[in-house]
Amino acid sequence: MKIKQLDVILLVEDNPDHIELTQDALLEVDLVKTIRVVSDGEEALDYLFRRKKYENPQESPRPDLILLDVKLPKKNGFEILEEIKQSEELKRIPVILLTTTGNKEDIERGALLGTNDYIVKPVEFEVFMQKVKGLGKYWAWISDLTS
Amino acid sequence: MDPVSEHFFNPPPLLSFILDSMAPGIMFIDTEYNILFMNKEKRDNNPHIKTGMKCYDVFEEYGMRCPFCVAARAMENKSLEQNKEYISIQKGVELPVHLSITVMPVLDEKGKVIGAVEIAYDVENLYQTNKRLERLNKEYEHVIYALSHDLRAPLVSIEGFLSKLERKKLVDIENPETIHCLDRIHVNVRMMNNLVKVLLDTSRIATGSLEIQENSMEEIIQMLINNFNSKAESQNAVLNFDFKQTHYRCDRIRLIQVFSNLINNCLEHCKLTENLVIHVGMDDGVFWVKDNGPGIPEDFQEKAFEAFSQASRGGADHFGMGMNIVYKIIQKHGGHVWIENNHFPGTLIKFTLRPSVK
Repeated sequence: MKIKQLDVILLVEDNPDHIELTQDALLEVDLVKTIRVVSDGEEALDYLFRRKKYENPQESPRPDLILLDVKLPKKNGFEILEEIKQSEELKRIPVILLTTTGNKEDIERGALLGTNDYIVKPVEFEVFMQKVKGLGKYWAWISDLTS
Repeated sequence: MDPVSEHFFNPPPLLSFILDSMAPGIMFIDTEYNILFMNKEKRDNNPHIKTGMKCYDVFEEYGMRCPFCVAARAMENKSLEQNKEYISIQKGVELPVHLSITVMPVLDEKGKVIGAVEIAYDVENLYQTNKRLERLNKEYEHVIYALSHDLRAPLVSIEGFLSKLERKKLVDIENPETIHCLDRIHVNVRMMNNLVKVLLDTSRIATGSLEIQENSMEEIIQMLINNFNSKAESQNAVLNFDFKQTHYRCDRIRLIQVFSNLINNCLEHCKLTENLVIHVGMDDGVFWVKDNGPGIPEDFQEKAFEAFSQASRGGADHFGMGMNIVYKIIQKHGGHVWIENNHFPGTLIKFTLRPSVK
């Protein structure tokens, strides 16, 4: 079955290396047309709520999927997740948490706040790519079904 | 009146003098909790109470026997009793000290309880030291956790970029020297990643909570068979399970981890043992893992459960944390783990997951 490519993924990540590697993984599996990157919690909320430099909807399109790192400056991943899930406009956008440690408490907290899934960043890049591909395809399929 | 009663109800001057010169606070009470005698330390610290008053008058808010009365227990059980927690409140206000109270019942010649002797030790220094150690331990666990987290992020990057170099052929991946260098980087990253994982897991055991549930032992055995059968077969070893109880309440994942670490240790340390048999079992709340291998050297047994301790040099993925993790999980459950010294040849490790059984 051919899965529709996602239009936009918003990557919320502060580690420049991880940004580059995640972008590589997403582009290599041909999952998405555009990847938007923001590198701290406040900027993520500005983008999603179209504030400050993200006011223009054409330049800041709604993402089909959000990849959200847990540990971020200014506001952490959970605070952002909470605001997304409380917003009528945003709460249907699937959010996948990215965690470095796979800490059980973090995963449970994310689930309680309404995250749709999580990826533990593995040291093996190939594994990471497979995970991104698997989860991305799944959410692309869901969005295809619901659109 | 027999001599014991006489000395107890009317302490002679020499006895009073000796007791006055002692550091702990000492008090004699009768079976009605009336104070018969207080040494100097007790008198100095409790100027508001006098001989003849009830001992619980120290605690004004009760007006009756204290709910945690150690003397009552001592007189009832006719045995030496101690308070479980240090007492730090008197008259509803916090004391400047923490007290450890020991009470000994006094029996007359016929064995009848006639009162009790209470000895109160000032354990403030010990209490403060314990508190400080607890705090330091928490800080230490937190540092390990934060450090492990921060160490893992660069590892993800190193391995990711290495993979990019290979995937996109940005280096000559046909060159044997390049292949060797890349291979060594991969091996070292994997080793460091495993070490960080072990550190993260150890700090999680210490700081996290247990998920206590009813477990079917059959399921746990099956899980262990699935995990270890092929490794055991490759060493011509036999795994033998003998569980007398069908169910047990504990943290399932952590119990499997304890067994896994112990079985893995047997397999790793008995590679040269012919006809290796590993027995895994439990009876009456005591679990065990035993093998017929070379055993644990006597001078190493004391250190066996310490972090980063290894009896012999392990491979790249062995950091000597397995037994320490076993120890921490068992300690978290409130149980004990020990090496049976009289089991020879081989190693017999037993553990409990409850405080009462050993």
